[in-house]
Amino acid sequence: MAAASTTGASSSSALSNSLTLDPAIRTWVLVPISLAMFLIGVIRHHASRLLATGPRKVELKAVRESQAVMRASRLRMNHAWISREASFRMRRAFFNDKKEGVLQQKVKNNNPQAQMMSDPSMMQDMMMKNMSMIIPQSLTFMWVSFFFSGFVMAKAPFPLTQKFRVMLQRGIDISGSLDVTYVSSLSWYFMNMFGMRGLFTLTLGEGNAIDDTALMQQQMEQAGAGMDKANAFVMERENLELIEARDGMVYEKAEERAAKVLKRALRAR
Amino acid sequence: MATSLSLTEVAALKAEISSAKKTSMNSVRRLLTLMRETQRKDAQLVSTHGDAFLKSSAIKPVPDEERFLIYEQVAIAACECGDVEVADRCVSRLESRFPGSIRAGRLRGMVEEASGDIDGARATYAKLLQEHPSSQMVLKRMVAIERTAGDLQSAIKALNHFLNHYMADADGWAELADLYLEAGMHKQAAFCLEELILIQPHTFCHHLRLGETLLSYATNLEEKIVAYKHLCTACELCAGAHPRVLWSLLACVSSMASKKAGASSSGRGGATAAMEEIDVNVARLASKQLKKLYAKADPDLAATAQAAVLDMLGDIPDCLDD
Repeated sequence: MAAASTTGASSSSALSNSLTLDPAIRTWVLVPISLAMFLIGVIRHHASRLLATGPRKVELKAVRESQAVMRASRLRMNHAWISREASFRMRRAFFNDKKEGVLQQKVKNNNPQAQMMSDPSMMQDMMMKNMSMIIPQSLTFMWVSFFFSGFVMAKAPFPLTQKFRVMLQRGIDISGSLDVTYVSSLSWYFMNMFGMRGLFTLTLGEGNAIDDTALMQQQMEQAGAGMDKANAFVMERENLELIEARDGMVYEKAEERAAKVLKRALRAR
Repeated sequence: MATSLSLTEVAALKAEISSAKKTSMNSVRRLLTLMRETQRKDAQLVSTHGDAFLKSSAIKPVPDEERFLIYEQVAIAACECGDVEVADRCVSRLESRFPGSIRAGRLRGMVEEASGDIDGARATYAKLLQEHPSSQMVLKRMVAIERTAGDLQSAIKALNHFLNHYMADADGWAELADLYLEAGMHKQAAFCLEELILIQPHTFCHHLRLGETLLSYATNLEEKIVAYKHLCTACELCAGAHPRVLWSLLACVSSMASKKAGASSSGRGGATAAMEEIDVNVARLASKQLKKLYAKADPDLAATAQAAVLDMLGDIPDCLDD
């Protein structure tokens, strides 16, 4: 096959610049590969939409736990902005109180792996997603390498260095003598595989934008689910314990600073 | 920069659309997109022109994603300005396209709210919550619905339920502060405002509102000083550019001064003497700055403002700019 496609490549690399490619290769190899890849992408997109399950349900308790960690860390970072010591102590008690404190409560330790073992639907989801990626890809790869291997089918219109040989001339054995700018069919397949994302976003839109808030919420919850809450609880609790409560740290010289700012504002025209 | 640019474009498009007899559908589409991006609102405009756009043939080439976003946008706008019929039509389309979607379900509830069917909306939301107990959108609607019904206590209860779980939600705390202020529960409002400051410590509005709230229920000098510090911080954070901050600051100083006489007679003079100097200084600067702001923005009002300042600070003549 390689011989048929590289007509005129009988002599050495000196001649390789004048290599002519059969126009039939363009119509029967180059275009079909690209077209097939594109169509498979479209089908996969729609299939994954059909397979997608709705947003996972999130328990209110889980929301409360992850939000509590967030709120506690904000208290730790910005506590200096609270003007009254009592306000700070009250909040710290809310989190750290020995009996009632939010961060003292037991959490179901759900690291992602344990969660996956307990929730088969999650595993199934992931399998589905992976399968819908892997199966079409390996099928197209087999198809291309079976029917179209060994074609030299395009030429890059610019000079390239030798390093590109591995990338552009996969699957043909005359490598040493052929100019690097020629592209083999297998390489064309790979280029299509990685390069079509832009085309897909143009034609199919960015993900499914229609339920994106649900998606966002889900991601937020997952961010919460991903962290080890029990550890986070202990850490935030200890951090809060270390803070020395004082009255209005930020506010000691507030009036002087206000006066300074006002003076500056008055000076400005 | 990008946002200010698109804001000017929004204004230009609005003017074009409301002035022209026959509006071009392309500019309507552009306006709707920009309004979604910048989160500007103009319910009436979006409702009428968005509905016309959805009915026209110009909707055909719009891709699915954008089309349904427009449906949602128009539905919400129509609910806001009471075009129940338009909203109903949009939501029906969304429901038939996304059966069982919580986002469409919430819109249905909002349509019911807009048509005055509060109980129906409540039932709709309750049903949604049964399926998705942690839906932030629906939980917030539950608060809004009680507020619409005018039941302040229920609204506060619903919002507390929301914040008990979504306790890092800034908008929730801001709304709760509003509700408490409306109900006259200033201490609770102050707590919410403190929570807001923890979330966004560099936003001057939060300091301003906390200062005002604290001042309004302060009974002794200590409490007033806390309010004063927050107002000073607000003034610092907004670089003295907002008249409301300055007015509040002056009101606070004047209130402190009227208490000061009482406080020093009861023997707390040491602490206040140190404060006095600075109070006078800040108040004088603030009144000067107010004068400048008014002279610049509205010279006609300047005299009235000056009189008000005089009235406020009459007791403490040192503060007045001579």
